[in-house]
Amino acid sequence: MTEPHADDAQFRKHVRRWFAENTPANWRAATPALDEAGKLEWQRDWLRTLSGVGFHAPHVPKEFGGGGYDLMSRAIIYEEWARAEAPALLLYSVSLHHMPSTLLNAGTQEQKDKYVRDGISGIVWCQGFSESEAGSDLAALRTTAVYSTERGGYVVNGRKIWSSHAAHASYCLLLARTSSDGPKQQGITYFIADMSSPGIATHPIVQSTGDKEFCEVTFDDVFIPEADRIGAEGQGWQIAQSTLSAERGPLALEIVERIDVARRGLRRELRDGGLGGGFGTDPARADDDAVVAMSARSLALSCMAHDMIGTILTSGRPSSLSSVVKVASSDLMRAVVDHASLYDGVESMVAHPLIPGTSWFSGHWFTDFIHSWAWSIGAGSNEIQRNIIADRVLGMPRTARA
Amino acid sequence: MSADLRYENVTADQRDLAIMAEKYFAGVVADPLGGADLGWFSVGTDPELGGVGGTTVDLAILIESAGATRAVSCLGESALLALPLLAGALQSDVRQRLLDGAVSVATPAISPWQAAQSISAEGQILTGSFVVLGVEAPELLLVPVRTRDGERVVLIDAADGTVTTEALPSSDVTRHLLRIRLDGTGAGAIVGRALGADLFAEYMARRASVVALDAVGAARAALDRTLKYAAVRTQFGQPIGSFQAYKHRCANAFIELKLAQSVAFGAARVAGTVRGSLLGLAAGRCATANATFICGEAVQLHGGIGYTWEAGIHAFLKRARMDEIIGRGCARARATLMELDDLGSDIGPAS
Repeated sequence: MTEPHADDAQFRKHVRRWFAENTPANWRAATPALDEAGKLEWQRDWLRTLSGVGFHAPHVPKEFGGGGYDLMSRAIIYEEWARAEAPALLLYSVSLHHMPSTLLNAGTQEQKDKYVRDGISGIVWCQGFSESEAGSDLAALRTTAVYSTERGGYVVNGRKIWSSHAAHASYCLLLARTSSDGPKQQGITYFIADMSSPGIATHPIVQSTGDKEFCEVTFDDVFIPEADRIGAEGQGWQIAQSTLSAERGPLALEIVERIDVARRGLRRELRDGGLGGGFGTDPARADDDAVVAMSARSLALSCMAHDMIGTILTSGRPSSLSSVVKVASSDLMRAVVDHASLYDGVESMVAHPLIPGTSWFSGHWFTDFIHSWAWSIGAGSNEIQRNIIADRVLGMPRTARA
Repeated sequence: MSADLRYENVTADQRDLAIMAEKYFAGVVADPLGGADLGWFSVGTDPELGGVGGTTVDLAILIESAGATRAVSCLGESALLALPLLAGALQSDVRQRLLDGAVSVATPAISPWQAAQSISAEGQILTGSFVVLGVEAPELLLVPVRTRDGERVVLIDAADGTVTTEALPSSDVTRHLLRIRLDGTGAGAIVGRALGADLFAEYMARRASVVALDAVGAARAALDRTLKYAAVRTQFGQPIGSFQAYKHRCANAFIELKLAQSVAFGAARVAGTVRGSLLGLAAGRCATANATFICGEAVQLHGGIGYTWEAGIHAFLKRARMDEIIGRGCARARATLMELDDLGSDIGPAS
């Protein structure tokens, strides 16, 4: 169990002040007008500002260029980041989280030295996991990697999908099949693919919000040197499982806090009549029962996220609450923007340019309403999370499979 | 071996306490003062003030355990509500009896502000009636009242000749429902009183915390029974708990339970602070509603047997629902929740 700690309160004050002083002014208004290159540069600038204090990668040890903060400090950084309504580093989410978690846990010394420090300082990485026929059933993936003795590496063929920011990526964390024998999980191997390799092509996918950060990535006889295999052949599934959730715990606090900020914003707009032309012009709506219920639930969610950090600190293991937090937070996020976009009324109907770096809440409620499905589908759909809760947390009888 | 559904963010000692408390309460369900012999009524009270020490989380664990066993217990009303709220305003002998668990307490079941309005106060003379839920024959009554001097909470000796008690049939079969009448109750019957601007907020929040912890216990026990049933009851040749439709409902119930536990225990952890009041009121709203949902799911997921009296699942549902009715509170409780929430950025998360 964790009790409030005086040093934590001091650190929180420090972080809060840092974000107050360093968050770019008016970034929501200024960024949509930037062209593609300008948006990339803006994300890179923000990354550099954050890296001055190690907040960009607080979980990565200092020797690799990260902040080297302990778990509680990381939780505070993510929470204050969200509370300050500072931009997220969406372009670098794989570079800052999945890549270092994977390499620091399963990579060779050479791989750590070669990729981690550079990667977290502003190089875009993407993830090549899902395929069109391997979504929730990720282990069904069919992209192949065939070893060639004469070339000293692997030849990869296949298609990956839902790969965020792949069009801008220098490297890809890739899962490919090196064997079709035995259980499907055991034939999967983990690789680093250099996105400038001949045979790799990216094809943007336009999403329901109009954004096109997703890509399909095709691999056509792409060569990957043996030095860029992570772990042994056949260990890919295990490595992916253990590193996918590595930073999910403390990072959840950012999302939970963004939800709290959003529902406070909704209430403020309802009260001050900021919501345009809908039902929302009646200030009494600010305290209507749905808003009160949502507020109480948001406070409960915040308590639960802190309990999750507490149990990780106590046990030293990932918390069984992580799936619970994922489902509860995405459902509450959905509820908040659902409510807000309806109350925003006619104003909500006017399309706005997308604001980069807004994570889940852009402040344009209709866009956020459409976007809200990204969280309940992505990062392991809520249905898969419920399977995980039932099977692994509650230990319910295994589902009979066809 | 089924999963342990208890609140997780506790020490190993607290985990042991939870297991022990549940076993203990199961043996004394009808005792309004169960646990007094173990010193539980002074858990969370500083030793310098006559308590056995321990934290409010320890106390919360005990209250939750009473809910899980559906015990008739006034531990929460006494140790998390009356004692800390009235603190130094109590007559010292009364205070000692509360700490010893030697005297039972009840407080209005209906929302406190309505309760306050149902009692007229002419100077020190109280007249009116209200309903309490809990023990069969409460010896002390903790009652919020509004007088010309302001809002106050008084502790009344129920043995006074001006106090009458009428037993009402209780829908919650695990607790007693009583109508209390005060007929010109005067200063002689008042054994403790406190007055203050923030007193009502804290009263409402602590009242909400108590029922939230009770409801969380009932919901945990109901879900626990459901999961055990799901593993042994077979249909179509398999345990019903193997069907995905069933599993997802259990997963949802578990999610609601974890939210409820976190806010109820989170409130207890910082009880007595502004944030404690905020979280207490949030727990009264969210945790109790979640508990009703979970207990309702427990009825549904037991199928026909869940609808029978004999299976006893209804007792959890009734208990949780009554806790929800109390925990939701009045319009004033809701307004206070949102007022405290507006201070949010100054309060900070419970880190």
